[in-house]
Amino acid sequence: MHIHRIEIHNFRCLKHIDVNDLGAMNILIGANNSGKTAFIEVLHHALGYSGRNAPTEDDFFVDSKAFNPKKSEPIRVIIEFRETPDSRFSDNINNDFLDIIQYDEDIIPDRYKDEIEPIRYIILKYEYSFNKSRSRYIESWCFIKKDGSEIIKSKVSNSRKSYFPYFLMKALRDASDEVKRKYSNWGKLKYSVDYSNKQEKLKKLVDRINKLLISDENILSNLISEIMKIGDYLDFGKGPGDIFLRAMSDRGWEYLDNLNVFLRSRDSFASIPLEKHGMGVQNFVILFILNAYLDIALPISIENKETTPIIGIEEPEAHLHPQAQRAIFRMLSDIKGQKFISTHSSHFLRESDIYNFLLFKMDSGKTLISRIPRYKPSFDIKYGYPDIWYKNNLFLNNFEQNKIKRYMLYKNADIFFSKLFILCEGDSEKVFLEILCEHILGKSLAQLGVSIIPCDSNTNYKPFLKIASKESLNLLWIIFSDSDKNTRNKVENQVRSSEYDFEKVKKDIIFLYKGQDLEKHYIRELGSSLVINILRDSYMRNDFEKFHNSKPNSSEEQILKDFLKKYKIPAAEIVADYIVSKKLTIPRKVKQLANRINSKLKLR
Amino acid sequence: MNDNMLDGLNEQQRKAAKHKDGALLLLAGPGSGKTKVLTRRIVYLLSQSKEEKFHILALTFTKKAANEMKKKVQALVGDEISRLFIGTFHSFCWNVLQTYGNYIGLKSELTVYDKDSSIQLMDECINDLIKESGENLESREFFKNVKRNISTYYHKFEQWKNTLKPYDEIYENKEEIPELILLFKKYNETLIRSGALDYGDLVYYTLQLFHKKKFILRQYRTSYRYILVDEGQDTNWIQYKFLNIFCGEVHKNVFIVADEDQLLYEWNGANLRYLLNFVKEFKADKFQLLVNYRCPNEIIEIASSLIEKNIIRTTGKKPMESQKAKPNCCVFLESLNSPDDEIDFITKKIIKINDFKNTCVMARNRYILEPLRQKFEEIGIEVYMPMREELFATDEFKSLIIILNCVFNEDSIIHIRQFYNYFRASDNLKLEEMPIPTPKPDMQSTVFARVLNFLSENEETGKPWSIKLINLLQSFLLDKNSFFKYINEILGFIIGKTKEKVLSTDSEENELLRRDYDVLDKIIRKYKSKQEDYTLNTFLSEIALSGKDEYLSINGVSLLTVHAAKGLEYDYVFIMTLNERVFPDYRALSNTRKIEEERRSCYVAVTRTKKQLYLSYTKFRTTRYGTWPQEPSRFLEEMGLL
Repeated sequence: MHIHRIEIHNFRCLKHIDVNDLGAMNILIGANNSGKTAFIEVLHHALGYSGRNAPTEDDFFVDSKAFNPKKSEPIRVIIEFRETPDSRFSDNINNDFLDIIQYDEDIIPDRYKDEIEPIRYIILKYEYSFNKSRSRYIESWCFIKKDGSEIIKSKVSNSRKSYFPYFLMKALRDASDEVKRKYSNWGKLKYSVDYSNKQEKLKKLVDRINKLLISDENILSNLISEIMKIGDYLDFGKGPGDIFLRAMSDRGWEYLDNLNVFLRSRDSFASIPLEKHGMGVQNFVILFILNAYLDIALPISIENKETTPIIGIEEPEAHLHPQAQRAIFRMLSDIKGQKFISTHSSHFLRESDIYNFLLFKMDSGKTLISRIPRYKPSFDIKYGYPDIWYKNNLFLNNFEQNKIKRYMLYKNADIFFSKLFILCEGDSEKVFLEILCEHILGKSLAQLGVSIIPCDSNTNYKPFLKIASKESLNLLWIIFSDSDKNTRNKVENQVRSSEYDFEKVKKDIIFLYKGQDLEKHYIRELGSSLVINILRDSYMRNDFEKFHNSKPNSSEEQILKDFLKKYKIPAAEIVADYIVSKKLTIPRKVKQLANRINSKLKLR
Repeated sequence: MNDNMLDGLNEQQRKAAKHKDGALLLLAGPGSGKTKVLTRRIVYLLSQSKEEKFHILALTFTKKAANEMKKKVQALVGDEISRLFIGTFHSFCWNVLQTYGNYIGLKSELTVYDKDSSIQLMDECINDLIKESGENLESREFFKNVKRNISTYYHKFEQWKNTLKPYDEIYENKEEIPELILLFKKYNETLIRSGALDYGDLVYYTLQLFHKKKFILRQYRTSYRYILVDEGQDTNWIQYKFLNIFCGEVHKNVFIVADEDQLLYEWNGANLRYLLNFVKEFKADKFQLLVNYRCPNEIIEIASSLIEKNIIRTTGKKPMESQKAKPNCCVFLESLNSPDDEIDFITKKIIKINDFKNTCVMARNRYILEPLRQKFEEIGIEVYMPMREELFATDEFKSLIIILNCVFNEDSIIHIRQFYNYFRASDNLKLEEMPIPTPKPDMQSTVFARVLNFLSENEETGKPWSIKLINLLQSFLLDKNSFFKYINEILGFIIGKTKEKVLSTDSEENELLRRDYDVLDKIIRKYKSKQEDYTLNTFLSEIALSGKDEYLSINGVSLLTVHAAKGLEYDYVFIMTLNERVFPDYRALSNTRKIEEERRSCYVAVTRTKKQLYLSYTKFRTTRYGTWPQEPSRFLEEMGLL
């Protein structure tokens, strides 16, 4: 069973969270301490299959200095499971949840109400709070209706919970822990082995080994005789059956106690136990063990063929090389079930669908989650409409979607980790602005959470403007644009058509002076002769000379212009570096940009 | 391994229990083990399908029967019990509405009024209407007449609701007496205001839900693969209609256990015709359980002889066979001169038998039993004579329940009126005249909160502890889930002593209070063992669902009407005053149909016996007008005893 919607209240920094339309894969991104761990952990309290425990008093959201968890609002998690027209609840689910299932009729348009059955859903509520009449904190689970009222006599039994068991993989994954702990996935796999039909044979062998190891060795058999004298002083018997040594356990459930994974690197002779390998290998193997557990042991222990595991994993990329990260991602995608993965890895993002991102942000101590919607917010989504309607109501049309995907894939997935986008036309702007802004602001843009996005043309801002909008990820942006010919109009139109209140965002669009592009701008600010000298002084001198000599009939300005057209990017880098190292006056528009960045991020 | 479930069943019972798909009518006479068959069938169906998850719906006639069967099934199937719904027809409707009532606009927090509460509500409405009639003597008379026959009108209203016409349409009906329509309307409006449904509403709204939201009906139809109905003969028209709607064209796995010879509810609309329709429409197989395990042979012979005089019976019905060896004579007929002599005779015999718990005396109605009860009390013979639905004997405990109901549903007018009445009993303010205070600004506007506020401001209530109690109740309203704590305190105030004092002092007035404390403790213990989460709502449900019989100690001689004895059995049975015009009742004499129902009553009474049956009649009867000769009942002749 698939989770469609989750509501969380009063758990740590998650005061009120409501996310819906969740898919099979959900990627949680956001700064450290923005609530991602809280999200993954509270699901474990509510739905955890094993190793689950209750929250503590520290887990309540604190709203004031005089906060008292006993009088606080309860920690509450509301989880909605929903079928889709293509994947309806099975007969078993319908039977197991009889009188609990709710029906959504509204999502079927009137004219189809006779043909299409309403969509079924189930809502589970989990609460943790202080119960006065029993004087202690109590957890409770129940099923509820749409209006929140409890469905009486609806027990959240183990057999019902077996449809959606939740597994938590926290960030710190230590192989020795995994291997030794009895209730880790490794432990559960081990203990599901049944040796009862080999019991006798094994016992005989174990006895033989113990004999070989111990009683056949002089030192140890002498030791035994010494030890047996304990019987003289303490109340133990003195026969060989009363005090004895044993090296290998003959108890069936202890045979596999030391079961471990050994790995030998290619072309090496050494097979090394898992916990002696690096953190990356450990992390990787542990995630594979999880997969093995879900595949092999879970179906047996849970006794429900229709179970769909739900998994919460923190930072699966920990300690892993990019190729390994991608491999893990693919392994996780193949796991049957629903996944909530928190990550800081752009390699992960690159492999994912942008609609799966949940962006976590902290605002005055409370977490906000935002996403890229699939459809326009004004679209009243129902099932059964003609395909063209859905297509026309997409939030990002196909072109825009592809633009973003390609950007993420080939250029930079870090944009989703940024607080502020700077949209500009090309890579030369990017290089120029990055160097100069770092110099002005004292920190690199990456450190500040600012991303410069070269959009390759002045008509490509729209996809980014859309995903930055309030309906979507609610991110800050500034446009740094050329000002030649029709560019100004084109840019302004794009902003307007992305549903922004133009008057409010005017300040965030910085145009170069009339008719300018970047090169024209810095030539203007520095003077063409200075620029020429800078170039002649740089590692590009030879290219410049060659160029210069190839155009004997052009003016200096013209040669400069043409050269810069050809070698935009390295030239931008060179000029910017020069400005910084010689502490020249920053070109005015760049200064304006830096100021704007300052005020948007509220630095200082 | 699986057939262990069917151990201890005879051939016919086994065949019935194992019947797979398709409809079946099982004719099961008294003492033939039908409860056993039903229970085992459910167990068989559940245990044969452990891999599957379908549900079973079992409809019984009383809550008590449902609880008992459920216990037996649970003992044999354990957790699979979650796949069984067993309850009365009305409790199933209530279950459906609690779950999905909001899909047709019903509120979430609703209560169900059983017959007694509904009649109480009707009574209040009538009183209001009488006042409103003012000078109109005709109206007043009409309403007073309704009041005298209130039970009949309750059933009439129920039947109106069973026609499934929208209530608004019924209100427009010009062919009914306008005053009656007025009452019907007022009654329904008061129900809605009190957040309550009566039994007629339960059925009406459930069928409306099935009609408007067919996907819900379809789900139930698919999930409840097997349906079992007990006491099919007492099932009335609307219940059959329900079965038809529930099953639709496709679902045919309906198993009905019936014995038309025990059809006692014709006055409630039950009719053999529905049973016969069922057999036809569902193409049901027909089995009969012939062996009677309860009664000695002699009794079966006279019972069969009696019932065969009825004409309206299913065709092809064979007489029952006894399983018990012929003992010495076990049927005794005694004729006495007068009712007093009869009472003497019965009393002496019962003392001689000296097995009170397993002895029962039945009569046509309660008035006949009453003098016997008084005699038993005089002599000191313990008596079990169940009053209707009264769980507690003392006023104090009854008021506790009233208070709990007021706290739970602060708008429930009938409970609030009763509460007020108890409070102001020393005043001469009558029930109808209680003012419902108007809401003040910034104040809670529920009726109960207003009444409490009103009482706290008008101190002349006559009982010294009143103010403290009112304050206690006001804080109770803010803290409803700590009700256990409040129960003891409230009782302390009302009784005037602490619980310890009551339990330790051995006086007559304390006797009843001690008994009621005992009953309350039993209920609380049972409730706590079932619940994890304590709410006032579930606690009150527990009280409402507790069959009084579970808590009254049945150590005395049972004095029962035949209807009350349905489903029960005793070693020693006395049937008294078997006189023509008494049993059969004089009102039945002119009507063959009614005589047949009386005959069935007698048949049921006789077949309660396990060891010995004592029948008696009187030759004379004394009234204030003189002494009249009496004829023995024709049933005695029909049984071959006269």
